[in-house]
Amino acid sequence: MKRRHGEPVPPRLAERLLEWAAPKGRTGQSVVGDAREELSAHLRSRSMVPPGLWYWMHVLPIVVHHLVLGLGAAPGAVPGAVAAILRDGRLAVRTLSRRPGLAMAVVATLALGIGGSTVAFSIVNAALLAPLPYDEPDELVGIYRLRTDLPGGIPDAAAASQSYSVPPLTFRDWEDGARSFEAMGAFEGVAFSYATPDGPVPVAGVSATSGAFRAFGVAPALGRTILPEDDERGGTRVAVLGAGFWARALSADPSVVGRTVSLNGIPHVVVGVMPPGFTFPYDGVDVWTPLSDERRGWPTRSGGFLQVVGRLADGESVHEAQEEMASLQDRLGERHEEERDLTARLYPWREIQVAGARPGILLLLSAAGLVLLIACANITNLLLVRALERDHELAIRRALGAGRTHIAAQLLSEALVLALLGGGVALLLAAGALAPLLSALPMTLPNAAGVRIDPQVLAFALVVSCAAGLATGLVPAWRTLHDGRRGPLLGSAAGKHGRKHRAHSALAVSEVALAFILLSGAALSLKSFVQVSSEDRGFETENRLAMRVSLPAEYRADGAAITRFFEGLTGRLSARPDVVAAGAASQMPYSGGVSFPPASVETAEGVTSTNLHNSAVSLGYFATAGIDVLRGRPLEARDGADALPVAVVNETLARTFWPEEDALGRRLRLDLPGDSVWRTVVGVVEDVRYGFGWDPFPEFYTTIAQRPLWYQTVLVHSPHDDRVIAQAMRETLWSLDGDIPSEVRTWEELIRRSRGFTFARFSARAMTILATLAALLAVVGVYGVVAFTVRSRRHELGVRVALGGTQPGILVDVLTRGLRLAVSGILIGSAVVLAAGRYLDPTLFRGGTRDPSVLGAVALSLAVTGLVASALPAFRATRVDPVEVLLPE
Amino acid sequence: MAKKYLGELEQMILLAVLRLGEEAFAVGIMGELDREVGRKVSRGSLYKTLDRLRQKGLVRWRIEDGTPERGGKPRRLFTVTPAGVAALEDSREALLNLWDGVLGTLGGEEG
Repeated sequence: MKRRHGEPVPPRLAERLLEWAAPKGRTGQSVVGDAREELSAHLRSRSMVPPGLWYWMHVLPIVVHHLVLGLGAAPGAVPGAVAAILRDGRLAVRTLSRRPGLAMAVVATLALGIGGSTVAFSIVNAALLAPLPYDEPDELVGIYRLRTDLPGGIPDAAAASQSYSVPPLTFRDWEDGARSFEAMGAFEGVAFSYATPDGPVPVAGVSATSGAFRAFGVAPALGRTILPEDDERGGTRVAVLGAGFWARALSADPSVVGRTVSLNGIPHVVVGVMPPGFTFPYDGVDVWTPLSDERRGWPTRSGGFLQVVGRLADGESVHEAQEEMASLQDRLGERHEEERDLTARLYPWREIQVAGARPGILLLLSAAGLVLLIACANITNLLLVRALERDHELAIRRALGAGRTHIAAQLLSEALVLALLGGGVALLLAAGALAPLLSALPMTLPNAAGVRIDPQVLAFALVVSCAAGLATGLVPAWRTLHDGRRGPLLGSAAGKHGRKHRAHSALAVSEVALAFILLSGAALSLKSFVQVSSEDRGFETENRLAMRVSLPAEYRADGAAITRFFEGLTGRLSARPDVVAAGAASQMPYSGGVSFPPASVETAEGVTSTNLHNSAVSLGYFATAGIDVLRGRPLEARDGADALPVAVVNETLARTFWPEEDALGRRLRLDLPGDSVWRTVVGVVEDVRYGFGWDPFPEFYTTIAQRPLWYQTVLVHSPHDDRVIAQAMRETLWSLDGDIPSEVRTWEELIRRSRGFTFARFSARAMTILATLAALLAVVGVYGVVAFTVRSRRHELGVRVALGGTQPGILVDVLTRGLRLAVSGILIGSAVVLAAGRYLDPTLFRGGTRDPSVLGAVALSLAVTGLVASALPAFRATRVDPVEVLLPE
Repeated sequence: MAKKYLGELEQMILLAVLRLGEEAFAVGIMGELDREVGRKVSRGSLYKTLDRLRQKGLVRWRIEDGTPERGGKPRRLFTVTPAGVAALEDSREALLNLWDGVLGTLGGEEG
């Protein structure tokens, strides 16, 4: 619901519906106008009911009534709609209470269908629809610096090798040159250590310029945020705390502003505390600081590390800002070699947040929608059967003067009452299911914490319930309206079964078809999940423990000290009798991010500029991680700081740059300030995958001695108890330096917690639950139709038995019927899957959507369940007693 | 011909229209009834009653251009016809006649 220039704008669909239901002409327009006027009064009243929901609640009764009675009833029947609905509804409740079993079956089925959709919608609502927790979130954009030849779309990890994070010099040019932005800021993630009585703990930090805080526009809960004067070099070190950290580490001390906290052993003055729920740039940041002097003073334009966020100035469109930034970057390219062939590209902040998750979430919503469709088909069948059984009653009512429209309206009202009851139960189910679901939800899902039953979700459930009621009630109602060929009270239902069976069968077939689609989807995503999980990652995860270690500032300038520290630490660890091997790597799969600094490679055509992932590793790393050396030799002690610079490359790098030749003896280098020596390749190792479902990318390894990076992940291989080894790792670390924070995780845990893994597992599980539900509903549907056929053919079956028909013959006849329904559904379903598969996001189903073994297995299992569903009615058919059936005649 | 008397809601709505004068629009009538007698009338009942009163010739309406608040949609201004005023007077008279002397028997004060 938006307010435009102060006037309320009702939900567009609701107003359209009201226009349609109101009398035509100016009088009807005045009814729509009255609704608007009341809506503004409602807004002024500051009621708790959200205006959108309020409007729907006022419009729906009128629309539903128009649908119910307007089918041929007097036009302009809108007035009195509510009363008539209540009357029909009361009658419906009375009628239904006479058949509580049927009513309960319908309500339960609908509750499952609507409940599933409601839960799925609440996830969609939180992740894709709910406004981000910032002021005017649509004005927020992320600005990327990308190669010009990179196609559109938000760069994911695979495309990251093509994208360049922004160097401070470039950022400053952007900030000074751009006019389309109210504020622009840059930030990077940093790891801090915070000293506690139990030893130092790691703290998630973000270094940001003041512009980033201006762009997000969230006021602090206490004190202030980072201001322009903090951006200046050499100022006092200041810190803004996250609400979670403030509560956890400082007991939510209200007088914390002005106090000093020690981060990485350096005192920082706390200047402010952000409110809970402030997410910048992602959930769970504990501390924000200004950029460090070293980062701010970064001397070159190659090797960026900043991300940039901007808030558009009033009246500026993303498009205009995009044009400006692109031409700004073009001008930089004319002046600086390093800025050439790069462009600046804007993406809405929300898009950046949800980029990877959108296809999966929408798939989930569609799956839930299919389950609801199946549930509706089931209920339509039930209600049709019931309407047939009531033919006699309805005929009497017509004989007594009830109009056809009226009876149709009543059937529709019954369906609506059932659907609303189902919707109510569905909401209870959804509310109950959300808590356990939330704990299973990957927290990397955008706004996972915001998944709840809010007014939007309530309105969704209401609309879906009404739609389900209309959908299920329309067929029986339509049948009453158009079934004019038979006079009241004449003939039993028996004469017309041929035509009716076709309607029932069509519904059952569509249920099986829908169930087939869902089951295939679930089976394909499960298979894709299993496939990716069991992909050769290139390293061993069993009995491996990882510990991230960032050395404090006093070590960082001294390469020899860094090397000594890490080789000493891994040496001490591997010397323990309970440890098989120990190593360290600056970039390790599933721990921390990946980065692709600019690099050059000597190839047959000369020197090629590129970006290469790389890792500085300790001598024991390959053995500890189980990465095999395929050619040449591993890194060794002789590859010291003063020796010939060497590198070990992975297979992908060797294949990419030297496809025809031997990689050994070739040279490559990084193009970073202070690190641009040529390194000679001495070995080739197998590929490793850095993230769940990622393909290997070209990378090379160096020794820590030849590339002394102060942040490393220490890896230990030991078959002994994880807790004992973890403690030993911490103690060994603290025996070298007691101020360094540490957190030990098993490698398997790191994988399980990774974004790709949690999301893929969640999708596979959710799809499996929904598909099981769909299959169950479809079985019930097939059973219902076959059972109904058997019941209405009792007479015929009795005659067959009397004329000598055998039991096996009848059994086969009924089973064939069930099987025919199932097979028709399977055929239609597989046609849909094969046709629609190509439009689905390929990342969802890595194995492809046309996997014959999966589709075949699903088809077979559905066919078997179709047979099983027909077995009971078939058995009953063989027990028909001709005497009992034929005697009344 | 026997006189036909107004229903309770009809009387209330006619009186509200009279009280509102040049401001007798649908939403205003509902507000007036809510404010003065605490009666919440649904839009459905209000439209239905107004339709009935017009069919009886007791009210008429003219359509005016809408305000921005109404998204520019037109609105109906209702007025009570002389017949409507007469019907109200008949109803009031009938009720007063019937009330006459009743308060005494109820134990209330005689007005």
